[in-house]
Amino acid sequence: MSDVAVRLDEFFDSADLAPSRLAALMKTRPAGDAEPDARGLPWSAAVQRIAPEVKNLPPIDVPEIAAAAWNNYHTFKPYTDPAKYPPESTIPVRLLKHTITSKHRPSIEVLLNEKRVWKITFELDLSLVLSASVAVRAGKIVEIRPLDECQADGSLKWAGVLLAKRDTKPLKLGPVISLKDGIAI
Amino acid sequence: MTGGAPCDTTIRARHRRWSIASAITPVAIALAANASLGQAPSVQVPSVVGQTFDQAVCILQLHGLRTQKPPYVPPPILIANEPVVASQVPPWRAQVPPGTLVQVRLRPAERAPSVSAVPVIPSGARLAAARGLLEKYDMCVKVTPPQALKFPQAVVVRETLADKSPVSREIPRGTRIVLYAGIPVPSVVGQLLAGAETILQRAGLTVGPIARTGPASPSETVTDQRPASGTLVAIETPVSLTVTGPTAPPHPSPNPRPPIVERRTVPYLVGESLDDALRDIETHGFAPGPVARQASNETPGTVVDQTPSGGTEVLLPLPDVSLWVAAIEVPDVVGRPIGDAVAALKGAGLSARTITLVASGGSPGVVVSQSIPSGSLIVPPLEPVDLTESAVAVPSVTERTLEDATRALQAVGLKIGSVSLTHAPAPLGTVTRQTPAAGTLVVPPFPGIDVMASALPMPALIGQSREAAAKALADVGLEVGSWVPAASVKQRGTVIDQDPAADTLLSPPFPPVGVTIAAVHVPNVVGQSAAAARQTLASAGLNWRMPEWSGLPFVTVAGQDPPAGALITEASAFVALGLDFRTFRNLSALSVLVLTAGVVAARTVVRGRSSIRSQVEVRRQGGAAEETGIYLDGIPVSNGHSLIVDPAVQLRLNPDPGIQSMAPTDVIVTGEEDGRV
Repeated sequence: MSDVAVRLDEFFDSADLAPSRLAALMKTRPAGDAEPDARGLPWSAAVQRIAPEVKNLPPIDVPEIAAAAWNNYHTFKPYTDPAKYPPESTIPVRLLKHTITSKHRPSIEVLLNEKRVWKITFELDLSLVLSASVAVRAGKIVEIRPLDECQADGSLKWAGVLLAKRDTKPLKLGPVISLKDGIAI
Repeated sequence: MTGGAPCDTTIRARHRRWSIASAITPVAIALAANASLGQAPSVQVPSVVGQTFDQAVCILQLHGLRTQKPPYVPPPILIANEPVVASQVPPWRAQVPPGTLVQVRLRPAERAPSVSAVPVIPSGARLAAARGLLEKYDMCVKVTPPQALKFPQAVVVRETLADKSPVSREIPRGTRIVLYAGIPVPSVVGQLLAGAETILQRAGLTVGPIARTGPASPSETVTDQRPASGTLVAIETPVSLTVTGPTAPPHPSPNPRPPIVERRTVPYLVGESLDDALRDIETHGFAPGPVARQASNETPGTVVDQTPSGGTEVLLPLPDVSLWVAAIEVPDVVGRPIGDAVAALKGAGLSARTITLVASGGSPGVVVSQSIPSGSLIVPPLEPVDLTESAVAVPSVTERTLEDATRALQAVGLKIGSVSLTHAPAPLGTVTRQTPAAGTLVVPPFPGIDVMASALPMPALIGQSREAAAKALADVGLEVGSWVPAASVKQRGTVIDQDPAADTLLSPPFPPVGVTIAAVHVPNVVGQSAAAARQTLASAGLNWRMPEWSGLPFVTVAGQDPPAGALITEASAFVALGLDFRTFRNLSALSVLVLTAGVVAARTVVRGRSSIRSQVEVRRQGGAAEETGIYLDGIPVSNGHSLIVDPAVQLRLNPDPGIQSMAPTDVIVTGEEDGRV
């Protein structure tokens, strides 16, 4: 995880992820997510535990998301050739403005006596628009310099219920994103 | 029919009349002319083609010829349609000697068009008037004996067709109708013998034996007569008289006739009712003739025409007065819907008396027949018309399912009426009884056929446990629509009400069953100490679950699940309690540690689980909103605000790297070796 990972309550409006609001939105028991012995823990009680934890779901790591998108299309594959690009050399690669979409399905499992009784799956859809200059070294992306403001929007849903939504607006990533260990291409 | 019909009978056909006197004259002239010229006498053969044999005989005899009946005579088509001459030899206009035999061949008569409403001549009607009336209807009238026409007093004794069959009201044109004539014996008692003889002779009778009670005298008076006056006798029947001398007192006539006058004026009868008209006819000294009916818009039963006309001066002997009365023509309602038929009858001034249903196979609801034929002329008292209406027979739907029964009824234009259910030893949903019964005639749209169908009795569930009730319903194929908890003093979890009620008869498709389960209200224990909450819940018969350190004296219940007022039906259900540790704030950290350590130590002793110790810690968080809470495995189970549901609850957060896509995919502009970003 990079240092610029964005928590959900930062990416979205923090008020949207208030536990009381989420508990109200999630008061209806979902169908199919419960284990057979879930009767020991009523949903109304479970949601009281779940709502405060939503904001603690894994944060949005823009560099990892971007690198995964770039790798999917072998954008940087040519720079993995050590004969052509020695490991000690750093290759700057400029990327035009493009859009990256990312769909995540994080979940929270509720354990009762260490046995799972509920699994609550969320739908996190993101859209990032950015242009950047990327430094590649030894087959890894080691640095990202945004050339323009990264525009981001997204939504968080649970069982079809919209819990939080972010309209397109700039996402501060900093002038230089250093990836300590780099992201393998 | 006879070949030798008397030629002195007047032959009528289509209002033409020949008589012997007028017909012989041209033959005689022709014979005379031939004789004067010295030639062999000859006559021109007339045409008899199309005439009946009797008429042909008469015509040929008038021309001095003769004929004989052919060997084959075809039978009449109708009663009144005699065979007619098809051909003749010698032919028409041939010159032959008088007395030549003219051979004819007969063929069946053509069916003549029928004439409706031909009046029936009642017995006693004046012969002349009756004949005139029938001739108006183009009937060929024959009078027997023919000389009765000479006597005005002659009356009709009986009317029939030529072969003595009954007279039909609708008979072909030109039908021969025979009127058998008779003479009503006039009363001559009290008359001088000479006058009595004149009266009898004028009436067509003769004077029979005369019995005298004294010497003959010109002033003898008739004291008795046989037959009695008014008796209908044959023409020229002798009437026996008993006379007495001039001193003998005259016997009073039982039915004195009006004084004989030279002329009378026929009364005006048009517009009067038939009864009034007949009374006026008698009053004015006339005799009523035939009464015919005529379709008219006038009030039925009133006289619309008369013969002779009113005001006519007539001489003796007085003619009978024939009347035409307004009648209603019965409309043709066959084939019309029953409603229209009744309305049509009502519009014509008639009424429908009975409507009989009959399964005719035709369109139901229409009139199949009517008791009084259409075109009939009827007068008051108006007879109601009986109608026969086409109907359908109710099919048998017993032992069929309701769906089949519905289809069977719809096939004949019927439908299911009410459906009542019964617990019968028959497959569910089959019809066990129907009303009306099969075969009953009904006319669609019929309100409906009420049927009784076998049904399922609803099981009794009250008092049973939820599981037993569910099984009882499933055993008979029923499903639970909803389990509704309701506060009750009954044992928790038992059925206290059901919908439908027990023994209610159900027919497929079965409705979902609503079951009400006895439940208890969860009391409000928030704010109570843990001990008090336990006691409150125990008194309500409820179980509870709360952290084991709830025995701490400063711990109160901060929340509960289910909330207060909720209904609990399960016997094994529990109320989870959350405890409030905000009182920690008022304690020093050392006190908390001591207390906590005491609890842990005590619990360790009691439960012998040292592992629990490591799960409990007290953490003080910094900041203005300093709060204290208890954590299990790093998960806060109480921070002074949140509810501790169960210390055994844990959460596990699962990340998802996600699935990424990019557009456009080719975004690289430059790739500089050994360059700097």
